[in-house]
Amino acid sequence: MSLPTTNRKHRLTLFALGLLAFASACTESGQPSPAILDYALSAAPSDARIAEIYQRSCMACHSRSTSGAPLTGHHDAWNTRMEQGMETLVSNVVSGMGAMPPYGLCMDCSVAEFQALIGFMSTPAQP
Amino acid sequence: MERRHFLHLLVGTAIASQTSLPGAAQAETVFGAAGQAASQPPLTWRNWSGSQSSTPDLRLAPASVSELQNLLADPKHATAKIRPVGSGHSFSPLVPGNDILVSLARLNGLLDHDDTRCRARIAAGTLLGQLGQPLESINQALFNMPDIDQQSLGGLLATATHGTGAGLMSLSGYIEGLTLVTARGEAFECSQHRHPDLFQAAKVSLGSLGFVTEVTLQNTRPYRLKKTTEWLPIEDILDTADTKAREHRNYEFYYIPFSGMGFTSTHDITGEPAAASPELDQNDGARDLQKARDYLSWSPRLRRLILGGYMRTLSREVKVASSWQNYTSDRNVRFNEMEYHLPKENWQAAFHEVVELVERRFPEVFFPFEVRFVKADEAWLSPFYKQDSVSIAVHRFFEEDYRPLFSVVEPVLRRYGGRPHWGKLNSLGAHDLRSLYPNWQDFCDLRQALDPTGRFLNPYLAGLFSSQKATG
Repeated sequence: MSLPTTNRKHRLTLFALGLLAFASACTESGQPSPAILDYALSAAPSDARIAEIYQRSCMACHSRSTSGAPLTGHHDAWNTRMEQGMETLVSNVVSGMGAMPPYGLCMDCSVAEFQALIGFMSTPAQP
Repeated sequence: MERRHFLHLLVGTAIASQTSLPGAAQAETVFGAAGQAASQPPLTWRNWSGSQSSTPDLRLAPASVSELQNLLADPKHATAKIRPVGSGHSFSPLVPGNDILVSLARLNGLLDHDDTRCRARIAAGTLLGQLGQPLESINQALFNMPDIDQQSLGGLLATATHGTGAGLMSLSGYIEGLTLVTARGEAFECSQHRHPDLFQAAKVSLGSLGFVTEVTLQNTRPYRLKKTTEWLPIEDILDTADTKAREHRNYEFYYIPFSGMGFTSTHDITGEPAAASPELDQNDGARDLQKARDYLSWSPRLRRLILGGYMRTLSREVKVASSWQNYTSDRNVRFNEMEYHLPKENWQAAFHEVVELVERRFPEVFFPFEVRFVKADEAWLSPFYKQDSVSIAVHRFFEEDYRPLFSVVEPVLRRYGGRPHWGKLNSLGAHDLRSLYPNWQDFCDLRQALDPTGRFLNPYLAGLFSSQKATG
């Protein structure tokens, strides 16, 4: 089945835009600073229950810059995600996203605990 | 990065030179249909790929073994089906259940170790990715690792998860002792000398005998690995694969369908200092292959020309690092997978057939095929039971229907004597499996004795472990 000409042009345009988006992604700023990298490695929630969950479920990826996950305290990385709203973010955690397994590796978490974890990780790094 | 630009440029040029795009039209239809599939009730459990799901009444994570025992002994749960869950990385329906899912994630960490024998006792809820550093700190390291480290130790051992290496067993093969908490809440410590039959059954048990709460692993001293990745024509890879699998500590290869090219990956112990050349991001690579499929599947010849030409420009990559930092990579692009473990003398013929079938009938496939080598072990339900094996894996992007491809590839892999990976998709039932595993009935009898009411059986496992003996 071939597409009508207008659709073909549309696809080609989309592809070209995709290439441009890729090119711009290569030069985008917003990489975490050394201070954020350090913060992500050591930060922990103040609430003991949330801290325990964070340590066993989240930290392995969200403290490591090479994992592809948004780093804890990295405002730029979290800002665009937070704009989607907490409900969407919790839904993404429950379903899993990218390398993140469903429930974000916390099988026993409640929605409130997922919200607390997201809130902690998205809070900008404290000096 | 520049090479990726080069591929994009090649694909873009090929598109611009065409006036009709039937492949693109087909791809749009496939993605359009699949993209609308997703909405599920909140807090439904799904596995990583989304191929399995259930909505359990209770999700629990006991903080201690005694808490787990109390849970199992609690009369109010007496009739509930209970399934253990790890990280959700199994593609097969091992976990789904609507009563109680129990995670051992709170039972994690290194418990103690024996330096003389180089063994460590580890809680089963430990994530593989959180094990390397603690082991190194006690002068130990795992003999081998798979290519992702998101799995829980309990989950990966229960499914005989493996890495590659003709002289290396699956991780389950390195279990020297384990503690099993059964349906009655009893804890059995098992080893070759204590409950030896239960030990060989529980090493790879699909979570059907109870909860393995901790394991003692035979480890080795920390070592540094030199990983070398090299792109080659598939004919060259196949000509040398068996030899290289013998020569290198770890050897595997990937074939990129519709390209004529693949890459080999070898790991060897080295004293060289840590170093790394630039690496091609495998997640980016998968997305590029998807794009090439979307735009070029209408012309296999052009697809092969462009992909093969591009891959010939890719440089050898070398990385030297501690073993636990040099086996795994992050997998951000989701997929479903089928993997069979074949007797080593059969794999080449099976591989040729699979490639021929896929490239003739499934132009939509873009994920690489993976081939790995694994040494035999003694666990009753290990797919490597008394059989040195070569594993062949095929994948489909998670948003695309895997069934047409897998249903065609599976008969080929079975015909060559393959046993399926327990955590990956397959269609085998009790009758098929009984003929593949000499101790199948022994396992069923043991399971029946430990869990007569089938508390740990979800529908899939109940189908496998029917208590009826073979007849005729």
